[in-house]
Amino acid sequence: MVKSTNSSIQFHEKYRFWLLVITAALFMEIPFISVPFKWFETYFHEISHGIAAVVSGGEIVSIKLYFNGAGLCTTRGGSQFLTAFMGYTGASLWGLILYKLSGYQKYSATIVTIVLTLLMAISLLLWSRDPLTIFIIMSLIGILLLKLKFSHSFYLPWITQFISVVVLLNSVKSPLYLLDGRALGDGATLAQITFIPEIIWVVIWFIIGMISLYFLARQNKSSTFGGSHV
Amino acid sequence: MQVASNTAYTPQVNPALNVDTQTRVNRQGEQLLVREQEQQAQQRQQNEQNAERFDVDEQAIALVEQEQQRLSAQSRTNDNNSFSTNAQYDQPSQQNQTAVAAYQSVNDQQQRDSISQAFGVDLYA
Repeated sequence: MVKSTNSSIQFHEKYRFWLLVITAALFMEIPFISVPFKWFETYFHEISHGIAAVVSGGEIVSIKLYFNGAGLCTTRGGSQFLTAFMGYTGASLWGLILYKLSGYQKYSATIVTIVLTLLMAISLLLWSRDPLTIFIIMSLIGILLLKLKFSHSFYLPWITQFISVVVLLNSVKSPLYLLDGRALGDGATLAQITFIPEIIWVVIWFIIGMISLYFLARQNKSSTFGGSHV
Repeated sequence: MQVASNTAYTPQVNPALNVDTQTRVNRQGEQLLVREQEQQAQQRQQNEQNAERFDVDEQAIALVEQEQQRLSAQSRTNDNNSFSTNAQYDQPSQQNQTAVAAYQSVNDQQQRDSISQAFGVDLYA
């Protein structure tokens, strides 16, 4: 009995990352329920634009989120190239960092959740101008607070990592929507700035997302077969 | 002693009885005739009915054939219609759709640029 429980835990640990990836991929196909999790990716995408603008000497004017998962970040000043490039790249990096930081310990998962809640609260106060964006960011904060409320739960790291994988998978998938022949979005902006075709930027973002997934998969494998967890 | 063999062997019947018998025979014959006539009439009726039934069947077969012809003609028409639907003559080609999308995106991009210039901000979707 004890042996079978141990082998079950070993199975979960061994295939933890892939279980999360498969669950998240299936979850993203469920209408309505998956929408708030799509907002996470949109928020990370837009806040990455904003942070890149701030880092390169500009400022964030406003962040706008739409119900269908679209978003818009208005900035003033800063590097146009860096700001445009960091949208999809930032979403992938957020997914990667969140997954790694949430780790297997409840403590680090709680810290990550608190930091995210604070970032969203700042975004709500400083850059949200319209009721819909306020509602969406408040919903995201609500999800994070629910996580904190159940911080002693065994499932907290799983939930945090699940959200991270959803963000990561969305960041891999989202650039592909730019291939609609409309020359709109970050790819078109970068194409205007650099004269490098939009499709190249889409491929780069897709590769960055895939590398992030591969990195986490490798880490999961090494941590299962004798390595250490984050 | 003369023995009339005929008499001896012929049944002695009372003339009255003989008449009766004759009458009975006649009646029986009439009855038989009537029965035959009735049977013939019934048979005629049956034959007529059968003939009517056959007529009905023929009509039904004719109707079925007509219906089949109509359906086959309709299906042929539908096939033509589906062909025309598949052909989608009134729908712009993929190339034209892309051209329209590109034209619209230019309009959107111009709007975006004009907003950026007017307010001195950059928009990132």
